[in-house]
Amino acid sequence: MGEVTVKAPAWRILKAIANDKVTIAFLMVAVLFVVGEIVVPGFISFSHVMTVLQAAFFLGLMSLGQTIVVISGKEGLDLSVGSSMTVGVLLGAALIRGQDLNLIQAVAAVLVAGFLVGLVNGLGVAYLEIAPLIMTLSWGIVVEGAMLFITRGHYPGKASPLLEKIGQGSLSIELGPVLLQIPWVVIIWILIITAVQVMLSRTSVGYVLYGVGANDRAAELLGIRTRRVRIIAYGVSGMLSALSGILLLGYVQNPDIALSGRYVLLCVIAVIIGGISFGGGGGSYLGAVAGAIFLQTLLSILVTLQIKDGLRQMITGLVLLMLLFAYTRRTRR
Amino acid sequence: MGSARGGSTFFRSLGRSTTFPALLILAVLLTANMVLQPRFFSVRGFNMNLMMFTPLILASMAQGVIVISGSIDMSLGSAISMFTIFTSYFMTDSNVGWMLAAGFVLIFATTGLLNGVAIGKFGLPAFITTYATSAIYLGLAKYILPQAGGYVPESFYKVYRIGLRGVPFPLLVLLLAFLIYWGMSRTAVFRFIYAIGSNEEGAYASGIKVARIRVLAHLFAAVFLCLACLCVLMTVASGDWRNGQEYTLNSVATVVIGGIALTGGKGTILGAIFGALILGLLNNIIFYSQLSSYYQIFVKGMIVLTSLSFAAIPLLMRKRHAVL
Repeated sequence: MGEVTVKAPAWRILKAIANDKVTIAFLMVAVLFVVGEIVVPGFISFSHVMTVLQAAFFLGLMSLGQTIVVISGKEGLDLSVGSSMTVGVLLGAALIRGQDLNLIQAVAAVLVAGFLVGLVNGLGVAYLEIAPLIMTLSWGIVVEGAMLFITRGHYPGKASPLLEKIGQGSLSIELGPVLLQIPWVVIIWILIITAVQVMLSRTSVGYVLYGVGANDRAAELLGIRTRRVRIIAYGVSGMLSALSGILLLGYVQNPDIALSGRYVLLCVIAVIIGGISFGGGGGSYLGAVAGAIFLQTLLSILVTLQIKDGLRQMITGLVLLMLLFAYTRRTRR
Repeated sequence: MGSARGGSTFFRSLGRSTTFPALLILAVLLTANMVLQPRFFSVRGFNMNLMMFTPLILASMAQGVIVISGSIDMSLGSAISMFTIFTSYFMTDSNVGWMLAAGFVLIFATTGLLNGVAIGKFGLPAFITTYATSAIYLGLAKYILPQAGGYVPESFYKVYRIGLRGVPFPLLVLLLAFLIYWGMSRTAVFRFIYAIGSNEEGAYASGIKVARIRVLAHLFAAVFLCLACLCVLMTVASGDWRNGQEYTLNSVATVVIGGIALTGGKGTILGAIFGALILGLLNNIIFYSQLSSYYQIFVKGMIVLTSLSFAAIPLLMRKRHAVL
């Protein structure tokens, strides 16, 4: 930063890119798609990209909740997202029972249940001041345990035709001779991304959230009830995970308690790829979107290469460690 | 600041002690266990409990050292799983000693050196870093042995039950651990661990090599973790990635119950041991009340959560006093 020399615009643009984590995240996705194309020809065809995006949606929706919690600060993190998702899957299936008629009530009930699950996290973190990671981890286990004894291994009900259509179906657009099929969830995702971007950067909701995350004390002096904001952040996270769960039910049709297991670690990594700092108060959802797509693409490549489950987990762990090294390192003597 | 309150100095110092609440709960639980568990105070009962509690006590000591240094280890349980799988996968009747040694080296290299250097030297956030390494250790374990299996010679693992020359084996391990702890607590490094835990900047300013001490804290903890791994392996006598899972959260809970602040620098290893006894006794109550296995995860989770909440109360009360 010291010297003030005139540099070519190209260099400046490059520097701007290198400093913007969201751009880096999307570049990483692009690189990974190219790698995928080299490994498996046809990887970057329109239909396959849409398939990857469709599968990434469920992780992406969870990552939105995670993003909000992380932005809210105080080393916020929600590891109970898997349990909230399971609530969405199991409660959703039990209420829908394969009937379109029950869909709206089921979605409403699932949203409320997810919000309540998240609310407990918020109360523990904000009022009892239990470290978020521990609070959400143990509460997640409790919720998972409760689900186990309530269902006793039997998961009644299933998705309804309409929910399946949303989860699996796609919108067909004819452009002359080519027929483009865009999955409904991808369209929903684009709408959500737009709404969230507007809300976080243009409305008071965003200002309050970023303010509380960036400087808790200052926000409190301005009259913001920081604890309440944080509690709601956790509540919303639970709600979004539950919503992701009921939509996942539409994608896979039949409920299972183990569906959400792999999402928790991935959700955390997605947020880190997106460059959202754990200090809070910074970052945007777009980064987490890139993170979710990156992880789903990576998973897709690993599955095509028939990499075993254990090795896959090792690779995801290594990716997380490398990202932490790249983004949060501050070498001490 | 609450200095004008009555009571003798003894009671006041009790109230301020970080381990006192733990001792109180311990007394209550001991009574409950005596009522529920027949032969609680018999030699057999004592041995049974000793065998059940020892791995958690050792894991808590490991977590205690790390938390005091201002760090945390969320990969502790996965490391235990990795150890049981690694050793039992390669173990034969003739190479028990060598495999154990190799396993210990693995524990030192991973939870000691890798975690320690990442957190201490490079300043990565402890929670999330050890969460990442936890995935790596568990992934490695699952890769070696996707299903439960492996082989542990009976002549080796039954020592845990029958003891060495009439002395219960867990008791020997615990004595060894206490001896090691006693030795450690007399070193300057151990005082520095408290120093970097309570005030890192201050410690650095007074010439303590913060990065090195933090790595050493993780290495010190790895000693206790190795003993915990040994006990878990001898108890379950097979390799399975589920073997260590509960230890991560349980060790954190015991440390908190025992009065070690998660912010670091406060509390004692003795407190962590009390915490482990408390959680062990609570789990005992569940075991002897013959609860259906469907409820176990829920109840155990609730216990951890409740104890975390209770541990938060004195902290909050102190804070309120400080404000007034």
